[in-house]
Amino acid sequence: MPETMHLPKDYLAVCGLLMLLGGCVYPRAVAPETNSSATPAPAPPTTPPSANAPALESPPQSAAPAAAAAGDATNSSTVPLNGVVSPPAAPSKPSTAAPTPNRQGSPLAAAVSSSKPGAAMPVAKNVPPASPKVSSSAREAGSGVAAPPATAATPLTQTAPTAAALDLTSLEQRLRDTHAIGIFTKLSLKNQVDDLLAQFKLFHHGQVPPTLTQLRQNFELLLIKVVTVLQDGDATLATAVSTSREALWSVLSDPQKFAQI
Amino acid sequence: MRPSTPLLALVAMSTLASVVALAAEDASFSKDLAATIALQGLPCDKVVSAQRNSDSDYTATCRDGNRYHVYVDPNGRVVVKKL
Repeated sequence: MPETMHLPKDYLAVCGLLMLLGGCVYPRAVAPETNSSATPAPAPPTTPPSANAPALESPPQSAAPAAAAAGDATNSSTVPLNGVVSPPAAPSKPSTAAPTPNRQGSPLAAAVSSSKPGAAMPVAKNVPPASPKVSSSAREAGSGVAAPPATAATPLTQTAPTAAALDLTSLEQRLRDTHAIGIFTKLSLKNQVDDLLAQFKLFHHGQVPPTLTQLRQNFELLLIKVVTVLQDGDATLATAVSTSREALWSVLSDPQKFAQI
Repeated sequence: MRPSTPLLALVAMSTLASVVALAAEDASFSKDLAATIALQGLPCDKVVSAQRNSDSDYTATCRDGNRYHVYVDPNGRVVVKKL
C-alpha cells in the first residue's frame, strides 16, 4: 500500500524535473534565432521615410525647388538609401538586451568586449561627431548658396550621412551582441578591422603605398568576410552590414570624418 | 527496488541533457574555430576536433586533415598557425 502511494509522487517529481531540464536545454539552440528575428522586425517599419527620403531627393530639388514637396514623397519610396537607414532603429533594441555572455575563457571575452581605445570597432565612434558635422556642413552649404529654398535643399543632402552614422553605431553594438559568431571569430574580425584602420590612417597621413583603390579592395574584402560569417546565423545583421557599405566607406575615405573616429 | 527506478531515470535523463548541451556547445565552438581559420585565409571546411592547450589556445583538426594552432597572442591578436 505505501509503495503504490509513493510511486505516483516520484513519477510526478521526475516529470517535473524533466520538464525543467528540457526548458534549460531548449533555449540554447533557439537563442540566436530569436535574437535575430526580434531585431530585424522593428527595423523595416522604423525606416523613417520622411527623414531619409529627402536626403536623396535633395539633388533634384535644387534644380526644381517648386516640385520639392511632391517629389519628396515619390522619391522616398524609390530611394535605395532607405534600406541603409532602417537598421539604426533596430539596433537600439538589441543593444539594450542583455550583453552576450561568453562561454569561452575570460581573457578572450574581455578582449572582445573591452572598450580599449584602439580595440573598439571604428564604426561606433564615428557616430557622435557625425551629427554635429552634418549640421555645420549644412550651415556652410546653406550660406554658400543663397535664399531659403537653397538652404532647404542642402541640409537634406547632408542628412544622409547622419542617418548612416547612426546606423554604424548600432551596427557595432549588434556585432558585439550577436550570437551568430563566436569569440574567436569576433576577435579575428576586430583585429582585421584595426588593421584596415591602420592602413587608412597611413593613407590619410600621405603615405602612398596603400592607394585608395587598394584600400577599397581591402575594405570590400573585409566586409564580405563579415557578411559571410554572419549570414547563416544572423541574416538581418548581415544585410544591415552590407547595406551600410557606402556609409562606412564614406566615413573611412573622408579624412575629416576619419579623423573623428 | 521500485522507488529507485525513478531516480535512475532522473539521473539518466539529466546526464543525457547535459551531454546534449555539451555537444551543442562543442559544435558551436568548432564552428567558431573553423570561421577563425577561414578568416585567416587558411583552408578548413570543418573542425572535427579541438584540443584545448590553455586559455584561448587550441589545436584544431579539420576534416581535410589540416591541423592548426589557434591562439590569442599577448597583443590580443588571434593567431592561426598551420601545424
